[in-house]
Amino acid sequence: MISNEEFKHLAELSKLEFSDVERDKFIKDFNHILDFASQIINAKVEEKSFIRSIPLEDLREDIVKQGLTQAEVVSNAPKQKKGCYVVPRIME
Amino acid sequence: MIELGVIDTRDKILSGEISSEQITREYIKRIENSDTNAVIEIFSDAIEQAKAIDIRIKEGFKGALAGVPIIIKDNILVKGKHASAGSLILKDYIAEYTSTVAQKLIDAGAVIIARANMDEFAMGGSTETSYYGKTLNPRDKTRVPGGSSGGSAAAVAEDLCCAALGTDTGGSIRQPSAYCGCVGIKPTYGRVSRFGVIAFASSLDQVGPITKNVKDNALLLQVLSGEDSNDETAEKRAVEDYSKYFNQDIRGMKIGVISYVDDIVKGLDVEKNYNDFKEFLKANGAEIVNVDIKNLDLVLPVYYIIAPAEATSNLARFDGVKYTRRATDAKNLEEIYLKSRTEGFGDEVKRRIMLGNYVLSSGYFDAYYNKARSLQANLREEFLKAFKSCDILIMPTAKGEAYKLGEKSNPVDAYKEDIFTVSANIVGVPAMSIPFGVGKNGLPIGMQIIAPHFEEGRLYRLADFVERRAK
Repeated sequence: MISNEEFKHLAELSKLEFSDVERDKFIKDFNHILDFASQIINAKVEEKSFIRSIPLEDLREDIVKQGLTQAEVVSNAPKQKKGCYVVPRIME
Repeated sequence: MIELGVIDTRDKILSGEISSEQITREYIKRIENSDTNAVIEIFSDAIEQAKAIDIRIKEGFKGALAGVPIIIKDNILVKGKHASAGSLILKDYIAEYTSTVAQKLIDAGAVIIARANMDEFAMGGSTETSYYGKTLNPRDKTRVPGGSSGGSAAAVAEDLCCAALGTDTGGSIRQPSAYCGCVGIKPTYGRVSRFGVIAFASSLDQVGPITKNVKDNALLLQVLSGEDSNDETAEKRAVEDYSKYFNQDIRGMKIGVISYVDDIVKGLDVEKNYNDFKEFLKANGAEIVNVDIKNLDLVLPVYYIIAPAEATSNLARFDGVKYTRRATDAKNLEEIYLKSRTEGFGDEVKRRIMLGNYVLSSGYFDAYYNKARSLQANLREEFLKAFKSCDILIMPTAKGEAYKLGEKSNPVDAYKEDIFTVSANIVGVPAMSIPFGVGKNGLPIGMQIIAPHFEEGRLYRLADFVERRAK
């Protein structure tokens, strides 16, 4: 079960804001989900991990190719200038 | 009515009976007249694409999908076109490049006519969480089409295109295919490139075709498959000609039935169809083998830990700086992040971001995330072991017919609907949903068939047989 404090911390990590009403509903749903997810905590299982290995010969040749241009990369930014993202001043 | 699939349409176009332009215009008219909200946008250049293909065909072009109108899910990029993953936060995003799967369709001669509705960022099983509103199931408009590729499956079922592409992270191709009466495959993880597909959970996502019949499905998967220098997870393996698996019998095929699945199917609406399916296979010479998969009862929690953990990381990039939408009243950088994300994401996406951050945060990482990864590795071994005694595993795709719109408002109830589909993603194996009979309301029911890694051919052999022989 998560507390209001923990929820606040998670929201900060997630960069999300919740009103008080939303928060109460979210905490209720969230605890319901955690309860469901917690089934695995006590499962007896051998510790293992599966990591797919990539054979070295499968890597492509290291040849420089034209990718997206700087203008293309920032083309979807809400604010941009000279190929850079624009954000409000950070230093006062 | 044009109720033709991919191969029939292509053959009619190549023989000159109809032009790609004619059939594309017909489909556009249908989309415009449809009230299911399966399609978000008809691409403005669809007719031009068709005209260009018609010219190439006159010059001798004979691509596998020559002139065939296809719809793609809203999370697949085509340069210069909108793709929003069903989310407000990407509403105005225009792709800067084309995904490998879309490029393969284009190279094979397909006409990409529209983008289909979906659950926001593919998180959901009903297509009710889209920013663009709900999609209705064309077979019963009071019901969900399934999801997250609900728009794609509904469009195929309603005959708004010859076929559609979906993506599947925990059942998002198979379950809507089952609910809409289509054939849908989630290929082996690594069979199809994910380059240019808006990511949900990168280690589980796969693109796959949703079609009107099995042979179309095989052809499309063949077109989509293969290695990709832009996606190292797309494996270097020969692409098979799946047509060699058609028109065979299933005599001697070993069909694995999982005891845990048999237990949970009892009492569900799908029980009769599932038992009929087993009888059908047996009557046609297949051998039913009972297998056990240890810890299969934990696969849903494993999925709902691993998928949100990956989603949290993948969705961190949507911050109001790089992609299209920024909150207008943000005063500083921190507020840009907070307000843009808070406004831009829907509730289900927020829940999963929060859950992902929870299981990845220190103090919980070992108990949840690492434990889930261990269980995933163990489940993978269990499936490999099961496949030593059978060729294909079967289970239902969903618990029954499509449910009513708005019926699953509790998140955990909705998550539990994925019980039959998530294991194929967790383990990485290919799985297909094929129509098999109807439920008590006369709506389609899907059966799921699962093969070992890269053995899609086995699925097509069985699916083709079922399609030809089952009533």
